[in-house]
Amino acid sequence: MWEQVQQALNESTTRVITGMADLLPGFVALLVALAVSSVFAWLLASLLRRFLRSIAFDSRLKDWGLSGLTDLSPGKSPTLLVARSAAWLVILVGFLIGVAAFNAAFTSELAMRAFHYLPNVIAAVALFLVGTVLARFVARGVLISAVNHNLQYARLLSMGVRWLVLVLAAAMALEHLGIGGRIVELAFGILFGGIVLTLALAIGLGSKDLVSRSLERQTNKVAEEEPEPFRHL
Amino acid sequence: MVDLEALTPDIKDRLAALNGAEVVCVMPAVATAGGLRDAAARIRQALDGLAPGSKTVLIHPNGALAETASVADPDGPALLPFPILPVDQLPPGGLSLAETYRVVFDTSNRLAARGCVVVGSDPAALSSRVLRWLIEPVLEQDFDLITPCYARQRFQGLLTSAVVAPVTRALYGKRIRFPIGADFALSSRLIARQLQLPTAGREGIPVWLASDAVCTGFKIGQAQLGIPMPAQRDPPDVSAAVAQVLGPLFLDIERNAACWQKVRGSQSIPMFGTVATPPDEAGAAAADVSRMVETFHLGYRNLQDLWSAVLPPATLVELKRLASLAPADFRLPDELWARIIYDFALAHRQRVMNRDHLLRAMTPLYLAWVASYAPQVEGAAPTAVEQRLERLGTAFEAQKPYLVSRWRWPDRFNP
Repeated sequence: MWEQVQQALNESTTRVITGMADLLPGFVALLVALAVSSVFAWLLASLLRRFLRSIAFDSRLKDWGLSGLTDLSPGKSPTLLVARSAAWLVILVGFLIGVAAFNAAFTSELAMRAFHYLPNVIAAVALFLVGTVLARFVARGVLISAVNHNLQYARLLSMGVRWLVLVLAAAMALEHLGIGGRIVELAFGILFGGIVLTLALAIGLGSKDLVSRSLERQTNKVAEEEPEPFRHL
Repeated sequence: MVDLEALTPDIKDRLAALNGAEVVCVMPAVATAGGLRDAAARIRQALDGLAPGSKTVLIHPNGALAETASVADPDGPALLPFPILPVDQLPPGGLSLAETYRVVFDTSNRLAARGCVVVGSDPAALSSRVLRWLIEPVLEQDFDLITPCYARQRFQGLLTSAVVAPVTRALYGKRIRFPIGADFALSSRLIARQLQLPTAGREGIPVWLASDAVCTGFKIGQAQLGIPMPAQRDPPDVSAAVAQVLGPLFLDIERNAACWQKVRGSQSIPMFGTVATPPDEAGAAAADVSRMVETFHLGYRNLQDLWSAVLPPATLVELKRLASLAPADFRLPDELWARIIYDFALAHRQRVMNRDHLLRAMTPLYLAWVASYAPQVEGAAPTAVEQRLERLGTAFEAQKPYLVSRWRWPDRFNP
């Protein structure tokens, strides 16, 4: 009996060690792939940084009216954002190559799936970035306009609009990633509707006096009309 | 929008039949046959001895009257109906003003006229003597641009008083009182120059007429018209008016940076005509600025992030002090106002944010200036108003080194 136990132990040890020995080249390959991709990523990032600085990418972006991207960038520099994004993309590709080198069917399949999923991730990230920039732009426009119209709840209005656009962008990004399915749609509908209702209530309650005054003015327009003493043009 | 090539064949035929002209007069505000007859008679009197009547062309709105033959005077100017609108009927966007002027200049150029006079005001309000002051310096004294000098109404044309005139004075060194008036005269040389300029970036209110003339060395004068400035239709909200005037102005500052950085001080320019008595404003509506002050406070609370991207910390501190003042003590110092304008001009050049947002974000600050200015001139004599605006112009001049420094070294630390 002891001999049978010993044999079973030996066989299992051999199997584990063989398994580990089988995995080791793949693991080393993963490390090498990561190391090589890191070096390549670093090189690419520095080349990109140098190139983008030489063409004054940051100020060009400002000229194209994309200054909103500056605030989202590390160190307020879109050049750094592009260089770092490219570097992380290269490292991610290296990692997937390394995972595929395990030579196991499931890892290969995982890597293939990840490769197929990558465009969705990129599209989702791009969508969210565009949504963020758009949200800032629209919110700023609403804030300025509301202040110029002397609306006391200008900031609330601007914040509401900003979150509306952000929620919309996030829902679209999640849909691209295939996360959540109908739950996201439902949650988006509830959240979006909630924000719109909140804003409508806030504006409605906040400006009821304004609206009633305006209606009164419309009714008694002829009687009340006074010349505005200030002409700006 | 008017395009010379898109004019009706009838107008083109009339234009071809004219076969040249000595002077082109443009009167977009003529509305009736009687008004046209009267305008033609005034032009004939104004040009008496300057240019033969047959060599004068009067451009008037083609909707003014159905048949011009009954009005035509063989000794008076030739009549040319054109699709033009008076300034107070132009769309609030103001886009068609520059285009209208361009077509008129093109017509004048094609007719090989020695001078072109644009009368945006109601011609019935201008005597032939005043019309002569506008056009004579161009025809007889080699002047290239005659700008109008209106009888100032203290609360009219506020953007001109607050920004355009003091900026033109400080940057280009010429004390032009109404650089964007609707009545002016140009020489054929300046018209040729205007037609060569690229149209891109020269839309809306033509602020570049005077600045370009100064920078290219043309001779400029002013004519006393003795009438109030003809009001353009104000857009529904002030921020649109601010954007309409300051957008073209800031673009012009950017274009002429090489020119204005060399200019030091300012000088008055020749004035033609006699100073008229300003209109009586005793019965004018009282100026209530409380809403403007309120908009400034609201802007101060909500637009800090935007303003801090444009204005240096010292200016923000001064704005904080201003926001804490009681309404009765509310005064925006001229020096601070000048620096604010210069900082926004620089931010416009650097595109620190969307340009339309930038211009509209300035509205609460502009209203703060108006709220500060209005109580100072309310009930003041016309000379006191002029003195007040003279001080403003001097402040813009005094702060010009600040603009030059920031323009040249925008990234330098600026406390």
